[in-house]
Amino acid sequence: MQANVRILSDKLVEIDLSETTQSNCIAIFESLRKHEFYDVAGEWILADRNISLLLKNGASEYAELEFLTAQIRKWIESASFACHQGVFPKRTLSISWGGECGQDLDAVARRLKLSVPSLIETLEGLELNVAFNGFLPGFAYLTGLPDELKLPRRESPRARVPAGALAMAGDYLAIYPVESPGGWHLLGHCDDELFSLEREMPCLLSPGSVVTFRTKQTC
Amino acid sequence: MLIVTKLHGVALISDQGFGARQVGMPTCGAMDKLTLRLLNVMLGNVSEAAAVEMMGSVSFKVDRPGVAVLGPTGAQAKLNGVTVHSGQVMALRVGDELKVLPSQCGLWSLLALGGGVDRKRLFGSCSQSLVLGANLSMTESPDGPLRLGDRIGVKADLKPKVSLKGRVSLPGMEWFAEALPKVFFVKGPEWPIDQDPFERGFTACMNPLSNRMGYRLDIVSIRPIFKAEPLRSYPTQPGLIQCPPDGKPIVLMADCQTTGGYPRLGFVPEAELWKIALLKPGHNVRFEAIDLSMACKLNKNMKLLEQQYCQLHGVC
Repeated sequence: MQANVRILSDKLVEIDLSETTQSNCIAIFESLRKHEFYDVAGEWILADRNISLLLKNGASEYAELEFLTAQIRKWIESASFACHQGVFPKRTLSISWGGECGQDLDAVARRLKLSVPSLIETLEGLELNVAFNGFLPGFAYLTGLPDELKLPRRESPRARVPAGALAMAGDYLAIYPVESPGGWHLLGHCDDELFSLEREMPCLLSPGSVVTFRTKQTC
Repeated sequence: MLIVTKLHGVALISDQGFGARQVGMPTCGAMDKLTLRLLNVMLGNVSEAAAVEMMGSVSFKVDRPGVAVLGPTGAQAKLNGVTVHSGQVMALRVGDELKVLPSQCGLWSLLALGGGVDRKRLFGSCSQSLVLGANLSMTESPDGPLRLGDRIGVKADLKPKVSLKGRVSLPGMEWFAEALPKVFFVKGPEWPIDQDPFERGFTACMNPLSNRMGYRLDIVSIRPIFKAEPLRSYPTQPGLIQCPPDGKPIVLMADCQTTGGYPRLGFVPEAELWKIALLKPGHNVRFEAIDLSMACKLNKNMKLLEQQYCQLHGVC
């Protein structure tokens, strides 16, 4: 596989994988995490069709970054990445549509020229995939939204989005694990704990997981 | 060792931060991680040891003897009514009253304690977090901030490595006093390369609507036209300069989110981050572009400075 690997800063090397699918990115990400590049201390981070290595400390020599970049490029070009062979975990999340956490539900339905019940029915029928985690602990970017349901972010972000709010913007759906500012459209509420240190895997939804929604109630 | 007795501001336990950005955990930890490492070295602590980080005025009562030192440059306190400056190691005795005052430089002060703050580690850090603390309901949460009556314990009682009569200078006062201090940065992938007047950087003023996630900047030089179209989400890091749709850059700080989608104007190298932490709202600063080789040289110089501190205090 050809990879565009570039040095962005004194501690960040980015692999641009825009030519491949997110599921391939997840496979590459998992392989990179297991591979040791000369004991370099840092974190591999998966995002939207890109993977980055964030070094623990800023490099002291530019040659170190060039060497590291060359090694990553060589490794990606020589390795073959089998897509995930196992079965990704499947999660069905119960959603209470509308209410404080879903205060944009009516407006979203109007903008999409749908009734609220048909919007809910459409969302319930989707099989979504976790593309990557980010933003906040346990926040999972869910993909699989059909083009006709995609809306840009709100013109101005809200200062407070409640914890558990199911929201959509652009290509993604997501649930806010904690209260936070946010510019996405709010559709409903999910009771599940998305991040818990009492679990072996703190994130309930990790890259590759399959997610569907089930109606708990409509407020 | 210390009990929080008055809180006219915010106080947190901070260290070098969490290492779990892949699950969405912000790094958090001290805003000025270099100064925290230097303060720790002065006390003979491991450089990763946790300290108390404060904004505003915070008072403590000493319930066990020990040693402490304040930073960054410009930080100030009163020990039993007597002024204590940054870099001055204090001997604390039972019953002493220590009042940390608002810093002259930057918004946040650090109080390192001999032995380092004793606290359970989570994802490699003892840090409390304003972003996560009040929100995550976890039995071992990175809760925070500190409250009145909280007791801060230390891991061990150590003798300070420097004379209690002396004072060690910390970097930054000369830089802070400059009419237009400079911060070096490396241009990011979305920097507007076709605009010659802005080839070398821009001048900006720190906006008061700033917090531990990011320092907002008002451009005070001729305003470059930054392209503000959202990108595919990418990982973020402290020091990244983003450009939201209003065209006013944000320098991401210790508590920043782990992913973002705004155009990346540049990256402040690790060796320059302490300078951003010394800014106050209304402070003008010149962002001067350098190449990656120079950024690495700055990092090398920072590591040499840390080594010199270690040698000076016999830690290495």
